[in-house]
Amino acid sequence: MQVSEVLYDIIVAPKEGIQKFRLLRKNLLISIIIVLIGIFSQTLASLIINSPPLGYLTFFLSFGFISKFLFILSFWIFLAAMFHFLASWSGGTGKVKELFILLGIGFIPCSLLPAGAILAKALGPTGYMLYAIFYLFLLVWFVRLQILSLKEVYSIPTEKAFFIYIAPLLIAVAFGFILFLLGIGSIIFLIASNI
Amino acid sequence: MESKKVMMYLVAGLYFASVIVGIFLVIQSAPRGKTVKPRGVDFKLKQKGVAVVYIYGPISVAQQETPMPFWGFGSDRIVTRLKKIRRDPNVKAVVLRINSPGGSVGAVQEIYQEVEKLKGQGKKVVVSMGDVAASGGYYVACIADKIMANPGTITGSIGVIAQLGNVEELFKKIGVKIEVIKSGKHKDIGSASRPMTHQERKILQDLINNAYEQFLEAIVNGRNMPYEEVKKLADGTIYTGQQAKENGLIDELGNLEEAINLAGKLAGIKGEPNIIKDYTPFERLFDIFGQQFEENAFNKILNKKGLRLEYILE
Repeated sequence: MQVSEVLYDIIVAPKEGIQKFRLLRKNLLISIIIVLIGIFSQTLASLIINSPPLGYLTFFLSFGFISKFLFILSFWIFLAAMFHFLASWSGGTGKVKELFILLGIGFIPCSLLPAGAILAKALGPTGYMLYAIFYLFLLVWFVRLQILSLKEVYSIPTEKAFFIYIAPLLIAVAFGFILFLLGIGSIIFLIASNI
Repeated sequence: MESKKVMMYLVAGLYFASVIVGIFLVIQSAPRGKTVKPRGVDFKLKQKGVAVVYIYGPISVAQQETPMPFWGFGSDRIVTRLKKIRRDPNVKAVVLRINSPGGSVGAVQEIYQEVEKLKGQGKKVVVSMGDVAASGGYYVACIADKIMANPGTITGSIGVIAQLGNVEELFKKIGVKIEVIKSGKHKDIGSASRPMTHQERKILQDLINNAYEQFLEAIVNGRNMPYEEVKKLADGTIYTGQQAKENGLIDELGNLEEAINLAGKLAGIKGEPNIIKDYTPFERLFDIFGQQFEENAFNKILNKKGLRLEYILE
């Protein structure tokens, strides 16, 4: 089985593609390369859209790229662990390493970002609008691939995989909201005690 | 199988083409000319202009009570800000916006010295007086190149004051007796539990006189006025901005905007000067609560007891 064929299948028939990707040799390395290409594409697309001064290019391409990769890598590990915990807790069985590898293929759609950004730049203001819609489309694709990966690794239904996928986000939002309320409450309390 | 391979090669080819075109576009459309190195998170070009420093409320070295320990209104914060401004080559002039009845001698003198250093660096200093800039507030102002006030601003009150309470009778009534163990006979000078002796009164009067002479000296140096003339005005009398202009304690009548324009003019800035504010985002966020805490601290300071020399308007 060739890597190019598997990648083609992931784009055209994701479910089949993911199953084939699990059987590939050195799929961890391929997954990391996909993520790196995805981050590079994202960075390049944002540079095309924002046109920063020439002096910043090296800064963005070096520090920006490395920091983004390190951030995504740590987030990737954290999310894989979190999904594994939630999937196991809800009755699914699967290996966290396999999930970690498959989550990386979600970055395949990101490789289309530079082409979208070039078109947006060429079309002007309308182009930017279309680019935003295109970005949203790629985001949905990204999420779909990751949910499918979760479903495949733990052999769970799509709805369950979806809830497991959004659970960390919901927890983060709830936690943030509680922190916000606590912050506001303490400020009001301090003002009241000073009056 | 073969068609899949061909398709993927096509996709890969398109990707590399978009990357090459993308890189070319980024380089091509990047703005040329002078670029600034990233400094913190501020990527904007800093312009030359006039810095505005606010001196509001009673002046004291101690940070007044605020919810955040690093966000106080003590003179230390004003001195730090002035020091920062002194080192900033973009600041060509400074406007001190004073709305203060004065404060403790040490704090006022620390700010005065920092303003003197600012002038030493060639920066022009203009004072804009708000509602009140009396006593210590005037002490800080007198070193400026120009002083501006509103016609109804309360200023003057040049002098020193120390207020001590005597609760001896009250202690007797409630049955409290204070036992004092001291290393020297004047160690409990200003004690509220007994009447003041003549000798102690003389010591404190000398202290007040000395601080008063320092005040007069500061005005003589700052305003280039004859000592005798200053002494005549410095009997604690308060003046309106208009009266202060007539007797030479201030230079012009005008508001903050006019003070900023005057500062820009003195610094040789053409047109309306750019105003440089160095508030941190955190300070800006909590500015809305500022007045609340300042008012509270104001009352606390006024209610404080104990020996404390003050250039303050009572």
